Amino acid sequence: MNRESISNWVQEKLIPAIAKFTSFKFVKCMQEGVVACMNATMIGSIFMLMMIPPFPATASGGIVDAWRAFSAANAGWLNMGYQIGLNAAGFYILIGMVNAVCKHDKAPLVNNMVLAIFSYICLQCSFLEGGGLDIGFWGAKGMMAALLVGYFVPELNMWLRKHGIKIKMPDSVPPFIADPIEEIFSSFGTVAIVFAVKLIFAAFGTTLGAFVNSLFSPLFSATDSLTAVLIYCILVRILWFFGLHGNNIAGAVVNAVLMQNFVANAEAVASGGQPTYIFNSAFQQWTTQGILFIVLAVILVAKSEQLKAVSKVSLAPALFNIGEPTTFGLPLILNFDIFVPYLIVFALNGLIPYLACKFGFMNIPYIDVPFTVPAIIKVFVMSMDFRAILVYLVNAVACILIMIPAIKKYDAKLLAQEHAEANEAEAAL
Amino acid sequence: MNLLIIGLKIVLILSWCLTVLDVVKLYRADTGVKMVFDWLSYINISGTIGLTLVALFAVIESSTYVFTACLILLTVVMVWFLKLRLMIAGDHKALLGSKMIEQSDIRRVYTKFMTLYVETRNETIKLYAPVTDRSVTMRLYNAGKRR
Repeated sequence: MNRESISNWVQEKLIPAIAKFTSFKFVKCMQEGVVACMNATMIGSIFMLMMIPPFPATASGGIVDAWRAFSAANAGWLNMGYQIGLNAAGFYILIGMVNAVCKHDKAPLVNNMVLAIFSYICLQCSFLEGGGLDIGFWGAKGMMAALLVGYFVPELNMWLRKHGIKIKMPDSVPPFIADPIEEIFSSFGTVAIVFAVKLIFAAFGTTLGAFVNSLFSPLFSATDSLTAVLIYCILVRILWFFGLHGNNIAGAVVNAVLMQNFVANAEAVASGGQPTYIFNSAFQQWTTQGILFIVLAVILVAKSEQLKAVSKVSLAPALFNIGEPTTFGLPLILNFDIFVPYLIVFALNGLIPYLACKFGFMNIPYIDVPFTVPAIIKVFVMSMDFRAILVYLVNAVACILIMIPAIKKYDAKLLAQEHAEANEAEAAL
Repeated sequence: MNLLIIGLKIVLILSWCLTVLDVVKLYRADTGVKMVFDWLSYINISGTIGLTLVALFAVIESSTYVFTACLILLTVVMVWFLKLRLMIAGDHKALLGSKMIEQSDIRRVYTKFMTLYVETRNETIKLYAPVTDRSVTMRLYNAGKRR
């Protein structure tokens, strides 16, 4: 199979198949829904970081004591910020999901949003003895249910509206008055169905969130494993190899689970425990470090003009974890000369930190950090553990050593091409 | 010390006010102004908002004077760092950091090492890692190309 036939296969078969998958309404809406809670989780992470000073219990003196004093003095409202920001992530995902569905179907937003929030509260919350609602399922535990409610409630409402009884208002009535009245029967039908579902769950002594989590628990366990990490790393890179945005495509499937794992870790830390899920959305950032190591390997050994030029342009973006100049400049796309080491490097990016967390050498990441923060700082902040920097350096050395022979070989090929072109140009003169 | 921390909190509020004022000025001066940001910029803005909330609500207490003061100072720096990187455009004008320019004045737009350079009739404006959206960058780029 030569490069051209692979390229044709990618254009004609692979890209349409992936485009079809990512264009499924549920997948598209899920992507938007999960992204909707990013800002809130970011703000919540900052509150949590201030609330729980990132130092071992034995540490003392200087900034450690100052931070602890600050945390103790502000504990009440810091906890409130954390609860509203991070511990209501399910609720924000619901809002993002309903917005995405309504945008996609060009459906009225407000009524569907109200119905979805009503349904979410109804299906997720149970009453506490002595009054009040148990909102334990608004955070990590309620994310999968939020995606389902956010998708199916507007869909159900719109289906009932299309097929059910309608009150047709005269055209002279403004839409903001006509819409709620026209939707009154479909809304009533939706509420009745939601209540029926609630009663069924209540009869079994459970809630939607608990039920969905029990259904998905094998998936969460499977996701939080070394095999899953390696499959994810390799799949993302194979997609990038074919010029497809691997992180976006694979992320459409796994981001919801990784976000749930991340919030569960944050909840565990906030309640004084230890994070348990290694493969979460913060850990995911470890799996994208390889580009910088490839650039460093190029800088160390490249002699050809092309690679030297690419390394100059790519270094600064790569320091901030932006990989496109390297991916398209080196290029990494359909470059069989470095394909195998390229895959190994990214597999190591998942393997080394995973094993470090698994064997207790490094804390499991539990803090969200923007992906453009330079990696060496980011890995420390995500786990609040200086040992993460050591793991990063070990990972860097291993990856650079793996890349060097392949880059040398590729560089020699480019150098020969450049010489040949120069000779041709001279001969032409 | 209490007064110093209150003063710093006021500086922090003023820094946000100045940032918002720049945006409001653009809104008033032009049409078609949209507050659109890409995902990374949103994360950037929400991080700064989170830090601002913590800094503003921090209690003023003798045991935490220095830490609180440093935290507020850091937040003020972050807000200014955000303000100077903000890039929004309307139909005819654009806000580049704290400078408002006419799009018709743009001669050239180019990038170098995470920095966006906007060359206008009078000066070249530099924006390090702009907080913006791709559509805004393209609008300015096209404005420069039309010259």
